[in-house]
Amino acid sequence: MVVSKKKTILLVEDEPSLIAMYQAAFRSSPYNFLVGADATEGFKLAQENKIDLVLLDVIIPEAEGKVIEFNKRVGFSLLARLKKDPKIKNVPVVTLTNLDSPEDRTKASNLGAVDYLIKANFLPKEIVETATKILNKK
Amino acid sequence: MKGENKKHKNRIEKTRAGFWLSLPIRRAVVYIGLGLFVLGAHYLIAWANTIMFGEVFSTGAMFTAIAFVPLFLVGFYYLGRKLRKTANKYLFASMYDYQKTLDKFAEDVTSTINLNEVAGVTVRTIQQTMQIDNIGLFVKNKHYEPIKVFGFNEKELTKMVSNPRCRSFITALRKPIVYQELANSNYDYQQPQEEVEHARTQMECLDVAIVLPLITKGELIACVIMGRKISGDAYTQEDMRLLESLANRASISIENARLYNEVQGFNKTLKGKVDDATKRLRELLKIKSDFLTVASHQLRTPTSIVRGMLSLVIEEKDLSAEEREKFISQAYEGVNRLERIIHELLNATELEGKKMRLEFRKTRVENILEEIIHNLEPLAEQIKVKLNFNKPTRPIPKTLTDPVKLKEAVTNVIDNAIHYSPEGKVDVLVRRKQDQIIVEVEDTGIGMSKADLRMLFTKFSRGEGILQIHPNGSGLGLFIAKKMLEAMGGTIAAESKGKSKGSKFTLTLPIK
Repeated sequence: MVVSKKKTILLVEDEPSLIAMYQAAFRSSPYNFLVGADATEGFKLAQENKIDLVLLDVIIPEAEGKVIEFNKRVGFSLLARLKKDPKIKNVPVVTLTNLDSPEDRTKASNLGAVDYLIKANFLPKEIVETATKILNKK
Repeated sequence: MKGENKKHKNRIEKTRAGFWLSLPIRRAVVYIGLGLFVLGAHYLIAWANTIMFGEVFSTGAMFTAIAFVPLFLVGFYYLGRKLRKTANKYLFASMYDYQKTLDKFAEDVTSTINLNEVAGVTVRTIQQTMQIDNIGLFVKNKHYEPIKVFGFNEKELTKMVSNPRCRSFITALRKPIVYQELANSNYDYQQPQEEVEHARTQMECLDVAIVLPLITKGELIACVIMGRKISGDAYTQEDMRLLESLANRASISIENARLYNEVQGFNKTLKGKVDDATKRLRELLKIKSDFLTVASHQLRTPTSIVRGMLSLVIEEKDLSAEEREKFISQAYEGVNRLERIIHELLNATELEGKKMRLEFRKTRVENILEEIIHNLEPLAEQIKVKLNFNKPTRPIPKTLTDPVKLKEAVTNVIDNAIHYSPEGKVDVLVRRKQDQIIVEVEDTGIGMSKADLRMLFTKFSRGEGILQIHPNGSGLGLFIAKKMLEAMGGTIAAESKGKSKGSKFTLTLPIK
């Protein structure tokens, strides 16, 4: 089996409309695009595949069917887990969220995220551009 | 106690017999003692001279004697002091040094701002110089408060001083009240006779010899109650002059100490109030900040959908027609969601304190519920929730209420239940109980802890439940529902057996 030279992007996002939106946007990009709709699925996909970039939403459920608990910031605990796993810890993670407070930005940065993007401020194609820039740096 | 006073009286009576002798006796002791010393010194020098020179009156002997003079003078001085002290101690004479007492007192009383210490110094100085056992110092706040009391029965003395007649007598007089002068009635106090009599009997009752007022800036701020001297002597003119000087100095210090205490008290109260206010402010700021975080997030999510979807439709070349349509409709849905959230946010802020505008109409509640269930079915399907409506077995009468607001309130409650019971079920029923219509919404969802229940209907709740909003909500739905129901004369209550054990909301509406 030929190992694909294509780089793989993992999106962890729970909102169905946004998933469809980003999938359409990344269709014309030269990357594989995987989607996890909750923290559990996201972590599983990160372990089972070779990921080159993670786009991580912060307000997500722990697992499918679970309720979203705002103050838990499940995305951040997933980020911490990713950075602890020896296989994944060197994969760049971009926080892609609609939370915008100094505390959240600091937390993301402290946990090792390389960038912090507000979904409402960026068009889908701009997200693709940023992802491309980060992947080309490697 | 009466018994003790009697004993004290007896002692005074005994020494009174020999009292007119005691002063000459004391003086005699000192002089005799000194005289003996001089005699002794003379014989000592004579003996020394005889030993050294063979005789007493030679020139050489005289000169040697002069060497003894300084020694003699020192001995004379110290002996005189010792004798006076002993005479004072054992024969109770108060031969004090007026000026030294005043100076020392001034120094001691101004060295502290502590009321207790000032009172202590004052009382001790008077006790020592006047040689008395019974003394009490009272400071005037609203009443006379005892600060230091020795010898006297504190309760009885306080009662006497607090007696309004005594109080006004002391205040009116503003001079030391000496029992002996009252008793001899040879002094015009410029007060009605019965008041003077009353004061006299009170003082006699507790064996009070002197009431010494402490006045500063024309105000009576404290008073010292003194018993009789241990020796039984009367207070002399010199004593009274000293007491008045002490009183002057003491009153200033006591007033300062009192004011200092007052200021300390104010500071503490003020600090307490400021601390409370600061704590409350911090809490409010945190609540506001939390709310803004949630509100802005909830507004941004549909915004990102609308913007993103439309940008793809406009710019993306390889979208299928089907996709294009889908994105446009999702953008439309996003706008609707945005409108709903803005509506709730504005509603909630508007509802704060303002009267709601209601349009009352005769309404059949079951019809409203049916509409709501119908509207929420797609959502229930999406979240995989079974939504049941149990129609009432008997028709429920119409009631006067605002159907639009009722629909919004109940929708919020059921919507909430659906969102928090993914893959579960929500049962809605309506029934009549006497003059109330009761709507129950029961779910099998994540339930609520006691803390959550407490905070449930508040606009900005604090606690573990806070910000546990579902993705499409602003978190204010229940707050708005409560306000609306209450404006229509109804109630809303929630119960839950605990986390993961489901919840039940009970709404009531009066039948009008």
